[in-house]
Amino acid sequence: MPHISGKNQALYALSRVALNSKVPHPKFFNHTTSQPPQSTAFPLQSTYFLNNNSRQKLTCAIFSTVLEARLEQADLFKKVVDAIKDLVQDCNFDCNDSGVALQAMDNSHVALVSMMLKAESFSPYRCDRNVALGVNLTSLTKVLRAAQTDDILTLKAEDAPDVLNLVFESSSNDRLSEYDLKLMDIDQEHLGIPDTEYAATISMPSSEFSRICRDLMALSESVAIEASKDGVKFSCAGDIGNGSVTLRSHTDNEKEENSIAIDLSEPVSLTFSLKYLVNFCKAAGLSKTVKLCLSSEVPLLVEYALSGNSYLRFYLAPKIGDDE
Amino acid sequence: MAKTRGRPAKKAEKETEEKTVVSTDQKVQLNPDVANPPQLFILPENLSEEARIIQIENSRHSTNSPYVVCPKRGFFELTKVSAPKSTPRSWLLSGDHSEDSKANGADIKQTESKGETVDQFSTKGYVLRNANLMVATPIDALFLILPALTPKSAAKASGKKLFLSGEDYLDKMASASPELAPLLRNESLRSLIEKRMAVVCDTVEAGDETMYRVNEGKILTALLQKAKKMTKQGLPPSMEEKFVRKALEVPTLIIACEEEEDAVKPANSAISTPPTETPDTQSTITSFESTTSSVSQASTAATSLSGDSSVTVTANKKSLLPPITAPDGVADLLRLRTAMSFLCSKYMAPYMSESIKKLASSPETGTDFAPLDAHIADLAKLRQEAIAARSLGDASRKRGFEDDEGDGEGRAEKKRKKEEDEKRKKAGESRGVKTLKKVNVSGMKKMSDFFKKK
Repeated sequence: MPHISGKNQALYALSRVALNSKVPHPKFFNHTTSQPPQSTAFPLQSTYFLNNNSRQKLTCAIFSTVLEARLEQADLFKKVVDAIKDLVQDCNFDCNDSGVALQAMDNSHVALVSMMLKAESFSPYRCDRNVALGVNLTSLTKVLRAAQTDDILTLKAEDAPDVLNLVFESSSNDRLSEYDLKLMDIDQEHLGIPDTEYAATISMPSSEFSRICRDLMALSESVAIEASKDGVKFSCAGDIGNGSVTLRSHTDNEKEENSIAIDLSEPVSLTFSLKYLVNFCKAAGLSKTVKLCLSSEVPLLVEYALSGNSYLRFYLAPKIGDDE
Repeated sequence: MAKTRGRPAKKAEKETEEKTVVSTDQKVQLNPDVANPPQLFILPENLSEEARIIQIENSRHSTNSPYVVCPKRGFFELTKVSAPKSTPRSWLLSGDHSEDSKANGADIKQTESKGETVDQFSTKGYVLRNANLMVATPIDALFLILPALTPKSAAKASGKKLFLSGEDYLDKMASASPELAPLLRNESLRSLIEKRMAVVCDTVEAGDETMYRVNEGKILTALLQKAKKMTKQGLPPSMEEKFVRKALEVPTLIIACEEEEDAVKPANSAISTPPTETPDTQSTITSFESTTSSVSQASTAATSLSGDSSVTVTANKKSLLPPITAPDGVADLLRLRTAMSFLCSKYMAPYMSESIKKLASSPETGTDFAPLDAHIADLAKLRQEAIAARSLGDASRKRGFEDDEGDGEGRAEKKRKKEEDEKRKKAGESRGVKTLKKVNVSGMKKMSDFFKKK
């Protein structure tokens, strides 16, 4: 019968898909079955809870896991990884009891991505000990490609793990796929990012920001972002000419996410590399709105807010000196 | 770069099990490896009936090596020509049904006694696992008697050597190579050896017997004669390239200010890419010690020393390659010296070649190597200056230079490894990361300038 009798077996089969098995996989009781399992059908180590709704729940004492994080929508994790993978190659997912965090810089060290998936974004989330999961993001993308958008994703890892275990459960039919991704030791310096009072904070539809970046990219490599009381102006000048897009703050009562809000304490004007900004825009699918925070002499913050206080933040150093 | 920290895959066990199953399957189809496989020889024509392949003491290593000995035609050394390890080959000996198969000259010697006959090979065909070829080429009997003439103990004892009869020397030779003893009873072979002995020995008539004592000066003369003959026909191309052209090559960087630049530069490129005529699939068991360069590089040096084909090849190449830029006669002197050191390192015991070389470098021998030495010293100085200039210059030139120095193989290995590493790294790199590498980040500060390390 397809049960998980120990970690050996899990390591053994890198990908194991159980389709409509007569004796269901123990984890399927989460959502597929209503009848109680025969007690003999399960390995002795596994324990079960019966909660008030008579839903069976399985805690994975089966693995000696220290991390187990279940996401209702695999899509969220897929998109997060997709957005980061074009900026950094390898990075650590730092898991602790508050959630899964990631901080990494690009090769040139001029941009930084900071991700936080709070425990609230998962259901459930359990992390008994802090673990760092060193992952090659391209490899992770390959595995995540096997997940359907509305699959339920469970991330699991042991103490001092060699592999990250990913389980995709299809919500509609009884399909369960399981992957082990080999981990790497990654030495990364962790930077402390202080809370900053920004001179200008602009929130706008993420699609709007993506469009501006893409449009201006056709003209130049860098964009000047000018925030004043009149609005925010994105302008650039290149070999073939110049161009600018100006946004004024307005409130859309029907669709709140279409609103543009500019919170300004003093005017700022900074220049940034468009290639990097376009790269950040890959996260646009994660959130309807994006927040740009600027102050002179500090990196631009591009923040995509996620549900449950989670976020994906990008920082980019401004171009100083040679304004092209 | 980050390392994978996976544990050994448990799957591997299963796979090896499967593999063994497969290999046993194959064993059923193929015959097991023959412990002592047949060898392919190219032997001289018209050998007499008494001709044998026997072990004789090698004059260089004082260990036994196979030689072909024919009482009528003399001695032939066997040189093993084998495919390089990097490109394994095999011989497919096809069944030849025509009558004159034996007249082709390529005889298959059978060393295995499994009831198979030579006829079986020639009708059914045969696959030899190792593409080795033993080629017999004539060798001067002088080199075979040399160990007997110049025993190591005598070389150490500084006193005058005694005159000994030819008989004594032959006995010595026979005791060193017992397989030779029966053949030495043959009169024609004995006279052949004694004739060659006379070339390098002082002789004294004692009654009806001739007594011999080795004379190093005579050995040198004989060697010089051989070396001159070698150079007259032109050195084999690989030798010419390695030890003559390379040694006389003028470093380009220094020469840049002189007029000869144009002549030298193309010479460089010609040398770095070996011409197609070079028999690069062959390697011989010879190891050629040379004062000018490393040992292993002379892998093809011993091929076809006097073959007509090699002479024509050299002639062709000479018309293609630009002339060597060196004072008159220096190139010839270097060729002579190269031939000499080849002979010494191939056929003379180390202690002998030492003393011969010492003798050769002294002025009274007739050949004056002084202009060559002066020129080579000059070149060494130029080269040193070039290294100094290059190490100051960019790194790519430096690498090129080290390649020239003959460290090529190790470097190629390193380079390949590096490339593989990079490939692996690239595979784990997304397109976005690659494009960001090209972004101009001038004027942008590092993140660590804004945020402090935790």
